[in-house]
Amino acid sequence: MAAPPGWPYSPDGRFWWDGAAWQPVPTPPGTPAQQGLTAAPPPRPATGHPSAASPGPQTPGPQTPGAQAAQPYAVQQTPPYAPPGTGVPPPAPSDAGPRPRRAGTAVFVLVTVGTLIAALALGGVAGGAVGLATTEPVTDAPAPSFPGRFPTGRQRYLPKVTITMVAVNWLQAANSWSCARSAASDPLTGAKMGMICRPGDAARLHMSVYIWYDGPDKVLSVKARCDLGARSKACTSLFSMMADTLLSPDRTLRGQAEAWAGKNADKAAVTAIGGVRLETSPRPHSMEAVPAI
Amino acid sequence: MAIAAVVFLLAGVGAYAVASNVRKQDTKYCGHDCVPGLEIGTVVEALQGQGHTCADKRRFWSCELRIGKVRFEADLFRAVNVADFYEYISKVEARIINPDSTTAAAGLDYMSWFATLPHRDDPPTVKKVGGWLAEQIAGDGDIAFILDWEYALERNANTRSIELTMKRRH
Repeated sequence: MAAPPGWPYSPDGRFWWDGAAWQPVPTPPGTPAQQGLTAAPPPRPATGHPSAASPGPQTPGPQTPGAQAAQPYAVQQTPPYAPPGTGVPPPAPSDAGPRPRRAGTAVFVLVTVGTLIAALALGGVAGGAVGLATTEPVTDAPAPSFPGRFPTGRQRYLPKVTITMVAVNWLQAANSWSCARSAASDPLTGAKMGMICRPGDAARLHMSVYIWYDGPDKVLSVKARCDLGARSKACTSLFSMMADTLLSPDRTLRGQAEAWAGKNADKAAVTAIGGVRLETSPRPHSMEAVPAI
Repeated sequence: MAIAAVVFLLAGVGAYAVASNVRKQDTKYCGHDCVPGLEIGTVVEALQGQGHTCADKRRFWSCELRIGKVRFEADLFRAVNVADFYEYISKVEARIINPDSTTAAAGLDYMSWFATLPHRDDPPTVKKVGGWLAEQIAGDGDIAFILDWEYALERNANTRSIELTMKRRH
């Protein structure tokens, strides 16, 4: 049976599809059966109407038995071609189409990712190199901050103690002592000036108060000495009054300091009250006040 | 291409910021003989700002402060053996004369400030040095090696003083 125009042919050109089965293409007289193979084979239809998928003159193929015969003609779907007698199923038509598209997408993704990684690496290297080349290392950093108890120059002086408070108001005015200044500095405290005060009576040979200072309100040290013997009331009174005077700016602490000095006048003791360090000594019998650290 | 250019620029800017920051935090290396990135003059000015009196003794700067009978003294030795780093500190001798129980806290803060100069940007080491110092000031003194620096704390009964020596370990 001759194939009507528009129906699909098998790849070898020997069969055509009639909508239900492969039909052999009759060989024209004088033409070998394999002649159709020399022509371009018809494209294998994937889906849809066979006439649209493989137009033009084609050669028929054999009829496929079984399920293809049950397929309704209206569907017009060409089954996979298999030469009669081979029994080898053809590859699924759906596998043939997407393969080139997937490969193209993968290449695109690879190129894009590679480009981004290269840009990232190049940018990082270039930026880092510029940063290192254009920025100077620190050659002289600021000095570290000082801890809270780091000794400072402000601690050199007895807090709120003045020359007037000690020499004038306490010793000269209240007790009729006399004071003499000395331009010599004190090697121990480093004070620039000194002042020595003594009683106006016979006790002047046994009692004295040394004041070391840098200025009228910069008193570094006050030291009272009393050589009237241990447990002398005069010595105890001297030390107590000295403690009371030095802490006089603080009404609460002055009593505490006076009491401590009276209690420890004949001992070797040390305490710190209100920023003033008081230290008593029996030999030589004395009490000294310096700033507490 | 536009995205690649943006990524390039962002990576460049980010790397520049990181590298620049690292560089600024880096202190100029001065061999094995000095406190890096801190000149003697800077330390001297800082001490003078705290009321300490300083004098240039050529080989070293000497700073001191007296509070009552207690003297705080520090000698900052120049790095005379290293070219270009003459004004950097190679060794510190810090001593406290006539310390007593009431000066312990101030003495520790005084010595730890000098002892942590080489490690000022390294808080864990600062803590380690401070702990060692506190232990030695309360005790009899010892020698320790902390990150290429040698520390020796010595208590001298004759001069009634404690002295810390800090120098590079060779």
